Amino acid sequence: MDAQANVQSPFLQGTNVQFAWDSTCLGLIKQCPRLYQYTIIDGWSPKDESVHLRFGSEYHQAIQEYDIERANGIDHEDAIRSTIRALLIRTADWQVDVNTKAGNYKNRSTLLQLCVDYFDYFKDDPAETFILENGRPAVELSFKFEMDWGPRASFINDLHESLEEHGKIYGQPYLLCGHLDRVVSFNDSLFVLDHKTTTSTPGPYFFNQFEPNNQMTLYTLAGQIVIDSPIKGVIIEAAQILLDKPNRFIRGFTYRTQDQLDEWVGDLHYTLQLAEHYAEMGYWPQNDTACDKFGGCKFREICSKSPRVRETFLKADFVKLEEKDRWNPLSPR
Amino acid sequence: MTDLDELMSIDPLELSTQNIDEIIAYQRKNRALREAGVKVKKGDTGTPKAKLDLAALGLIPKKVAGSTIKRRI
Repeated sequence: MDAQANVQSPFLQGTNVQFAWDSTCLGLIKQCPRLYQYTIIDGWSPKDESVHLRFGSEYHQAIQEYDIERANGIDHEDAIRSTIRALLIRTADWQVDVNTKAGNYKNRSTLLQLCVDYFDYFKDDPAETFILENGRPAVELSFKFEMDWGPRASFINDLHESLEEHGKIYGQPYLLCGHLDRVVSFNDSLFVLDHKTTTSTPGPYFFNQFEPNNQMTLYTLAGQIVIDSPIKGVIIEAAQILLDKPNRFIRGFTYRTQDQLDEWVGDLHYTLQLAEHYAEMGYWPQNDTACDKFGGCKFREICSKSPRVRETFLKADFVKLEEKDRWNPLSPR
Repeated sequence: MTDLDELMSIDPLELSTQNIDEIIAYQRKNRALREAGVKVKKGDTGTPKAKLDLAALGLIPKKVAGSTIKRRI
């Protein structure tokens, strides 16, 4: 918790102008500025969101540990044993209300089952973990790279300071940050591999959402920079959590060309310029055409209320996280 | 209480290798039953009775911030 408290703010000091962005923040501002405001600026969080976050985080960490063991030559059974032991220790204090929908699907018991099922299913995985130049397996790679432009506010402020104090002009550039679950070699091509959990069927409708897709384009771009090799795209590895049937694992592919990556970076200029404008105005407008997307926005009920009473409903249905607990692209995983 | 409940109620730090193998075997058996169309007990959180303070035991690793890649695009 102390380490989290010391993490740098992703905002320019004393402003709501964000300079460090990840796919989550970008996805929110692109989907709806008001959704971005409620989540990132104000820190409102649904009361059961912690269940999803904890489940996803533990699932990712267990797979990461298993993949590292296997890449280091440890055999399947020994890798499972050590990974499950660590998982049980980490989740010893995790208590979930299984009477809620979220808790019924996502608790310590379903997590354990999902992990064992996953390890057995991918025992002889045709996708091989890429080994980095330093000899380490490319698993859970954090990335943070600078763009060649930054918020206007930063450059204007620093211009004054720099001219007076340093005699040179330098501002805070935008940073793109995130974490790649794994980079793999598959059929002689390199891909980023991203784990997703879902309770719905991962059919064509599920995989179509990733093409085009902000997160997958950023991950392809980041993979190319981190690995310094061409990355063809992302393998989305969907785990469907089922209670009465065996858990299912399905992989889907999404490809990106260099032209598509360049276009995404070009569009990013406009997105970030808009984000800075909203921050300067202190107003993040609703995109009322996005409320029903992705199974319905979590703030839909709030936005459907009169503006005067929204705060009251927010306080009743959501928790306002302390600043140190809010989503921060600069937080280490 | 099922065999799994009993195993999961053991302090995780006290679990033997055999206990871990039994827990894994239990998950595999559950999967086989589900594949065979047999409904298995659900909704068990597997929360142990023993309360652990992971931070005090030094089992929560300190997070370290990554370095910035000085490559501009």
